[in-house]
Amino acid sequence: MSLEKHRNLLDYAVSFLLRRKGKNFATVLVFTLVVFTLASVVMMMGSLKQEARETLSLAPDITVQKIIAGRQGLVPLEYATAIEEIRGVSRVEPRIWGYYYDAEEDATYTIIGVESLTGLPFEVRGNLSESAVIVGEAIAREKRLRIGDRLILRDHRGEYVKFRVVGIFSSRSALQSADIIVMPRSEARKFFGIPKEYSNDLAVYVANPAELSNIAIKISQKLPDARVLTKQQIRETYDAIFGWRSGVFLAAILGAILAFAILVWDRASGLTAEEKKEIGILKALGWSTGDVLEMRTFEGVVLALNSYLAGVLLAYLHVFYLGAPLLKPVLLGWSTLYPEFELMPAVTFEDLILIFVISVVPFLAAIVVPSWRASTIDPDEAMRGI
Amino acid sequence: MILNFWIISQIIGVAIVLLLSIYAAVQGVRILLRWRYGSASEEQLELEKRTYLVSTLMQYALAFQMLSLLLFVATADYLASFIRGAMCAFGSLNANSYGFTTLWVKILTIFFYASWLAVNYLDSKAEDYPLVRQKYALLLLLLPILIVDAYLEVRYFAAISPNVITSCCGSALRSVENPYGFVALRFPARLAMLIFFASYALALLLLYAKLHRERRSLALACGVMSLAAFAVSILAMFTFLSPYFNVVLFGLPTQHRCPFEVLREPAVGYPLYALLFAGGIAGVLVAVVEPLRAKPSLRDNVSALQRQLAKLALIGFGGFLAVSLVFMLIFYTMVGTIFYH
Repeated sequence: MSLEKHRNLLDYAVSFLLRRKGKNFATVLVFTLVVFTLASVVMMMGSLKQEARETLSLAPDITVQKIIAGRQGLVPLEYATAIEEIRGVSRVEPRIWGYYYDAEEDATYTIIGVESLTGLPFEVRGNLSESAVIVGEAIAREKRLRIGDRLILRDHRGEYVKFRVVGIFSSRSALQSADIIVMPRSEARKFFGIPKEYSNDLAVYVANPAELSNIAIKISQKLPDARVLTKQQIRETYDAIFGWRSGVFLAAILGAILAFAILVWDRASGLTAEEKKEIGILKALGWSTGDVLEMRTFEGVVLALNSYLAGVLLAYLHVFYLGAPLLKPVLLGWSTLYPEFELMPAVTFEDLILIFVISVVPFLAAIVVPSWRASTIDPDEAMRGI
Repeated sequence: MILNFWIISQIIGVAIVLLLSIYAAVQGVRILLRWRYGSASEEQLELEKRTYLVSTLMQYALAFQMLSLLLFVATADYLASFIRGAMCAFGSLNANSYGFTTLWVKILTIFFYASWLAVNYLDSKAEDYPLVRQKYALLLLLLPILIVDAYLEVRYFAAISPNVITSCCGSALRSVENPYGFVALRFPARLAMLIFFASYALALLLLYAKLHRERRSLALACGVMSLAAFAVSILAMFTFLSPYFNVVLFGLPTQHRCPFEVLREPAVGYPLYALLFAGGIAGVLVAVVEPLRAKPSLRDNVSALQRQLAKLALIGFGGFLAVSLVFMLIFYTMVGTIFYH
């Protein structure tokens, strides 16, 4: 079991591959493409998940909505007082927020009404006085806004309301802030036409995270028409959605992977006369079946690893430098609503194994039998060219 | 719940392993039925060629099965985010009765594959194919385990249901959990510690002795002790060993005795378990190949292989122990004691 022998076989396999660049090029190309597609999906999924988690780490512990006839309605403010009475609740905040469709940009923004600028999940600079707004980076870019500019939005009555941009904010996680417009709560209330004694929902903060589920239960007992969402539940739902989306995608390209395996099988089976002859000569020179088999296996492994690395690298560039232009429409159903945002690099060791198992393993499995067949050629037959 | 990237790829992996193994088994049956050693017929020649195919298929299957185990744990870890109350792989494996069973079966199959390959290796070293019948009969035994593995795995994934926001009943169903962690196995930690160190001392001693001495009883003892040390290590990870890693790496409370947490730091976790598996498998194989000594054409090869296996087992177990001790030491400098229980 000398290592030297295996090394030499590997050397030979590489030279064998290089002498047939043309034939192997197509395989490498297709293989790289397969790995690229899979890796792009996995990386994008990982990044989105990371992003969602970061966003959620800033979400309130419990969100309380009111359900009227099975749909979400406005929450009366007396609910807030009722919840505040529950032991363990540290703070209840009635929130005013909503979506605003900007026909001009064909984008949807999120308008958030705040009492003060402290405690916001992103860094905001500027002073929030009346009719002043702070906008997210992406909106500023899209609408070419600078500090001091005017922003005109149509309120719920269809009237144009003038706001002054006093700040532009950004955060590390672009999904959190890209499409957000922050304005004083009273302005937001007026803008959406929400009556004084109501709010959109209630953000409940709990002092001890261990009591979270208990308090959630108490709230839903006390307020039977309330929908109580804990942070954990929202996170689970997000994860399930990302998993499901990418699962659908994978199921769709499963056929392509199978086709690829068949292609590989076919190409590996169809030895050219020249290749046959070479193997025949090797065997006549004293190579055993095992040696040729090992050489052919190395060939496959070298091919696979190169394509794998190339595919993963390209996918990384595609997703994190170019922002996954080829995949966004598939995986981000809401991308038309969202302004541009960048994905944060987030690749784990497990992701790499995952990509390996879906791409390299089928490939290697497909070449076992053809490699064996090639290595059991009888030398005399091969050299006579039968 | 099947429609998820991780689960689909896990099932692809299992399907490929199964496919390769079934193909190998079919070839094996053919060889088993028609094998006439000493015959110069064309069929015998063809069968001898096919033995190469079977051994290659099995090597691939073993490699893929190892990957599949890795991916299974990673998938379970990933699924933890869907499963109510699950914090890492432990929780998701515990989500239904198939989870841990699948894990144990997967580990068992790896031992089987490795044993088969060891037997195959020895057989191919000898000129006269002395083990053909045993080898291919063994192959047929492996198949049911693999099918069970695939079945359990599919059942496990099918039984997992994601918890999408389910309004207030969602919060009502949530039980009050222990906020800090869990103790998975109610087993006295100090006793586990004692057993752990004792079995390691014994296993390492026996394996070391095996390097210098050829004795049937010694080889068998090595195998038994290696299996014991492997099992005890897993028990240790569940009872007292994992907190050293969890505290040092992640600052988790010592009550969190989860053997999977360490995998969240791949640079430590995966090599750690790789060492343990190398030790366990190599150690067990020392005993597995011992009976093959009975064949005269194999004797020398068995001895040589056993020495190598014993060396590998020493490295594996020694490495696992060393890494554990290093983490215990760091833990000691941080906490001031290693008896935190």
